[in-house]
Amino acid sequence: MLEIKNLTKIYGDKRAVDGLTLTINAGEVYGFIGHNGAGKTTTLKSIVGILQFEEGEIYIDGKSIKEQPLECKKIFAYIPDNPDLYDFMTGIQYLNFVADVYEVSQKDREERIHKYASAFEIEDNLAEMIGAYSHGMKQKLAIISALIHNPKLILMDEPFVGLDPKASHILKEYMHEICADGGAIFFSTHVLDVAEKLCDKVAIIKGGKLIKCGTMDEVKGDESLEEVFLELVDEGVDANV
Amino acid sequence: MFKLILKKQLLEIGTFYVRDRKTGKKQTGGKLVGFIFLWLCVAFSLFMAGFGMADLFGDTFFMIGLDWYYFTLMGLISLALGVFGSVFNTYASIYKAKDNDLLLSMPIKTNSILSAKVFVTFILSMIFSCIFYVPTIIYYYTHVHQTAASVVCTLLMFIVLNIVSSALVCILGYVIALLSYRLQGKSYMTVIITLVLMGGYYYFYFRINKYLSYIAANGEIFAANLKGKAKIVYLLGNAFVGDVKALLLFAAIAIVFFLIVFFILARRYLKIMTTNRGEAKVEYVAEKSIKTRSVQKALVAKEAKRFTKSAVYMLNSGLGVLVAPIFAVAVLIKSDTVMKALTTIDAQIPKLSIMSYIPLIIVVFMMTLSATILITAPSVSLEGKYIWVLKSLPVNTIDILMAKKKFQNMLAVPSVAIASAVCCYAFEVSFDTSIMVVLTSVVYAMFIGSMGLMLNLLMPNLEWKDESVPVKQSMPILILMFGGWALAVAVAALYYYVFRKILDAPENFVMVMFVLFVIAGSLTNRWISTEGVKRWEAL
Repeated sequence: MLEIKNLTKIYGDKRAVDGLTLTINAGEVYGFIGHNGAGKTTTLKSIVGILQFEEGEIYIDGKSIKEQPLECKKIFAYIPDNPDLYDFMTGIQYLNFVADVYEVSQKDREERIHKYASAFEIEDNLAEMIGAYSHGMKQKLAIISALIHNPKLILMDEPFVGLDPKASHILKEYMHEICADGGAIFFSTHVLDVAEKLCDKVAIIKGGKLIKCGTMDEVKGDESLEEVFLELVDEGVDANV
Repeated sequence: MFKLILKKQLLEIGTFYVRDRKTGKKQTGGKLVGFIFLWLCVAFSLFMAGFGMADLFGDTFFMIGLDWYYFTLMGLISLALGVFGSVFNTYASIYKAKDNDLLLSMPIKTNSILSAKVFVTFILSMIFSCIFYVPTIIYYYTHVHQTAASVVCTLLMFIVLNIVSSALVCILGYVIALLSYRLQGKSYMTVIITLVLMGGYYYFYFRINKYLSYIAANGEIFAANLKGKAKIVYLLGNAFVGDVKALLLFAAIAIVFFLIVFFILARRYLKIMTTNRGEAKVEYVAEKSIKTRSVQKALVAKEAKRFTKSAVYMLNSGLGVLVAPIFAVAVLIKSDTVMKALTTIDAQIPKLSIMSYIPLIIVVFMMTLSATILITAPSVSLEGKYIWVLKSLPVNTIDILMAKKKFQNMLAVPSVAIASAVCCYAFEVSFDTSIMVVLTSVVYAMFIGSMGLMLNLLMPNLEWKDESVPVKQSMPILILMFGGWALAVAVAALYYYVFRKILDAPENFVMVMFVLFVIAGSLTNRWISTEGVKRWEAL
């Protein structure tokens, strides 16, 4: 579903992402962990086409993001770490805008908006201006807008930040649902407990370089993910599984 | 604690002037000097206006012993300056302050916070009112014999006047805060209020001498009326001119009024600060709200929402949309007068044949007005922190850019077309020439839209915190507006000095302009669809 080959992104003299190679298959919930500034957000932004990268290739469902950006973008949805949504629109206007861009039919958008907005308990707030939303409500709206076109791949940057426990639980259910339907999820997080329980596979990045990746068991063995992460980050181990 | 908060408030005001709002860094010496110079120029012109008014009223009223009436008028004007000069700062520092939550969470008495903030209001009010009050008393001191009592009274009354001003400012600030919390369609209301105020300003500006002369000529009647029917105003005037009893009485009234306002405010302050009123609740009805649109229409609608939800954007980049037709209607109403004036010029200087220039003059005016429709010029920068939305969605970059241009054209083209057509009708321009004038004006308006987009793609600023930075202070806006005006002047000059000798009639030059603008517009559009697309994608 998602294939990252030798991705390199350079800011000035700094290699924010350095030769990252990773494959996410259909049906997988893939966690992406690393300390602040490790290169997680840069990787995600490069995948979705927000950042242009110097070296490497990214394929989404076999299509190159560089060569066929529109076809790739139709397949995935992206939820950024900070949901800066158009605060000059109401919630429903924003959802309509995103649905228009993805050309979601009237019937489908009605059903999906109702399904997701009621699940995340913001249906009553959809007529309000986004500028008046709390961080959590914006995050919920960003999630709904990401789900509105039934994407096969969802890329999320710290998706649980700002969500209340119920919303986090619902999001996790949807993540499993999408993967069960043949989709895939690639998300970054600092919450290692969540990653450990939720992910099929995990990748650890440090200083822009991938230091370990694989199935959860392969990466953590008998230890907790937190212990493994701290050991790897402290030691700077360069060991892909 | 009062002193501490007062110091913080004063520091906040100082920081506003000495630090760059965009970068937070200290203003450089040159910028600071320029800023101070600008303020001094504004203060000096107001100061001189105050002198002019003091001279007009003083000259009339001192002779007939109506000193108190002179002070009533000048005092009330100073009071109004104090109130309107400081009301928005008060609204921002008392009711909308970002540090209110922090201050309230600290072990500080609410009254200390409030009194420090109100005291700053008092200082600001004094600064604004003194611009008019100082010339008022200087003129008075130099033209009327003074006693110790009258000098003391004029000085004390300045303080008393600003106590009244502070109370009024607190009330007005509260009203603004309430409106801003609950009002629907705030941006439209702001635009309407601004336009009404601007209209009112120009209406009075052009009639001010007439009104002032009227007040001066009928001073005795007005003074007699005030003396009989508005005792408090009479008291105010007398308090200035050395009537100690009047001073004490007026000061007592002012202080009581201020204390009542402060007391009410103090009681409600905590509630005002801790109650998040939010926007008025709007009910969500799925059947009415969910609608499908094509991608292109959705993008244009997004631009429209961006524009209509921001009063700053509408006022600074779209004013010409309204001004052009208003200008044309004004021309239509006054067409007889203008035609008479032009006929007179034609009769006096037949060689000039000014009447034949009318089509060209209309086009040049339309060019000037088009250069105030600058919707595309900040449109790329305004994506700011939201740019990830469009970049992550499956939309062609050219569609995004064209939507920005299309929205500007949707507003600018009808506005300029109507305005130029009305002007042609008003000046009885022949039908075929009118068509050419309208088309040339419209093509230029479209060129301005493309040019604005191109400039913003060349000079984008996505890092703004306050949207007024890209909308009011950016290079694309300045270049487009002043460049547009310069081009209008250049076109007129080009005809007069070059093409007049080559082409038979100005209409022919309008045709040349039409062709030139079509070519310029096409080249700009070509750049947008090639280089512009690349620049957007690299943002």
